[in-house]
Amino acid sequence: MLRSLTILVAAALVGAALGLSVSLLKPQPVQADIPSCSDQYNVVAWMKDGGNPHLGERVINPGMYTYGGSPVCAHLSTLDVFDDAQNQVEVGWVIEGAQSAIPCLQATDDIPHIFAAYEVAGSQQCKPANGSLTSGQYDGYRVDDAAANGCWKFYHNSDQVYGGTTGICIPQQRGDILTNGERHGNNTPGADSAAAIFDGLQYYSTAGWDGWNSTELACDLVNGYDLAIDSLTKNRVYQVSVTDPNDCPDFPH
Amino acid sequence: MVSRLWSRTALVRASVVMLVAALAAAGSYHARLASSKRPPAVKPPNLFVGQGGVSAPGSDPFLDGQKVSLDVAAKAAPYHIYTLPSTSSASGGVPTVWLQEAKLDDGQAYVAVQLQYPSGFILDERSAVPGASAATTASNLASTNLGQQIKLSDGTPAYFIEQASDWTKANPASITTTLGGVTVEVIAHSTQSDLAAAADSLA
Repeated sequence: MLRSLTILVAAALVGAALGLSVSLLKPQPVQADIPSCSDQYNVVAWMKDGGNPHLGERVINPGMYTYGGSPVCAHLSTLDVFDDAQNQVEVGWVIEGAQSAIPCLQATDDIPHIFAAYEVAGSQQCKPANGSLTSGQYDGYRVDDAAANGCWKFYHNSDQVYGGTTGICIPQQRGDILTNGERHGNNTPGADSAAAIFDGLQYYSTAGWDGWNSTELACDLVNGYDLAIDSLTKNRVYQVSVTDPNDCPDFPH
Repeated sequence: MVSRLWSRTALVRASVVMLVAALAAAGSYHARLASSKRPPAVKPPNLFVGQGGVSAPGSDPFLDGQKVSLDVAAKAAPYHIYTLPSTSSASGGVPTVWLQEAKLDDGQAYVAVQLQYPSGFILDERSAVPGASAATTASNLASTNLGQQIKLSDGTPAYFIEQASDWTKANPASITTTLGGVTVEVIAHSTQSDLAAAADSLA
């Protein structure tokens, strides 16, 4: 009887150990914090080009795809000219969702909105831009410092949508050019979308506009989404079925 | 965030030891280990509409930067690199220096430098727009509507952005000015007077 009891106790201990261990070995949520709409997750690609900065970028013919949907938090698709972690400019569209935490855009609905954004010394500003979008279409976007004086203008198709006559003038004259698929809130697979398509990517130099000459992943922090490089001038952020282990070798944080 | 993830990693390692002991006879633990996910070692990037703020101390603020000594950065930069006096409270010790070296479309060298001090102060420096003065830099920055134009104690025009004043309510304070062809951003989660004192002490 003692032997049977010992076996039972041993079995119980092993079982408990197994249960605890398996529980701890389960893939954990990426964010230990309670998810909120202020948490953001990005899949970012860049035209590495030796790390050389440029005066602007655009996507045209056909352009950046506009997704639909009803995110709880926000779903964004943008072009970004990135000087460093403190200075950058950005243009694209956003669906803010019902619980958005992007008060500078002021549109908690399910409609894709054009917006412009910039950051100076770690301080950010974003503004809704005029113009309407329809999900399922491609549009052109552009942000450039054409005068090479640090003053940036923001465009949707051929219309300047932000920056006025002078532009938004920041210390950044040039920068690395990026594409960004982004979602806010919960980062588990099945949460809000980070999907994006950029088809017709170009950079601006003193010689004029030219197609991207390279594309590579700069950062992937989004579970359930990954980067596909279809060509030098086309990349996509698309849904995958696996939980991504997150690959951010280079991106500032 | 990072230290918390490391703690989690330690827990997972402890659980692995338990699992190895418990499943040694079963021989299936290798497969379980192979399928476990490693938590990320980095925070979400500061790309637009997220957490405002500055680079974490010790992290590369550039996409393709290098951590170097101040001497190496000084040799690479075609301008004087401003620093904080080592004795100042804004310094707190020797800064971590990050360097980005590239070429512009016209072939000219492009060098950006960031000094990250143990105190949390950051100096972000790059070539100024050709011909730009402190006055033009400050007035141009007014287009951002993020802060206000000020003057340093010697009368040098500058642009000040107050901490926790942008839409994220998490941004650092900053003072930006142009000194001898270099645009310098002094950045810290601190008060205007502290930043002004740091800007006044740049050497």
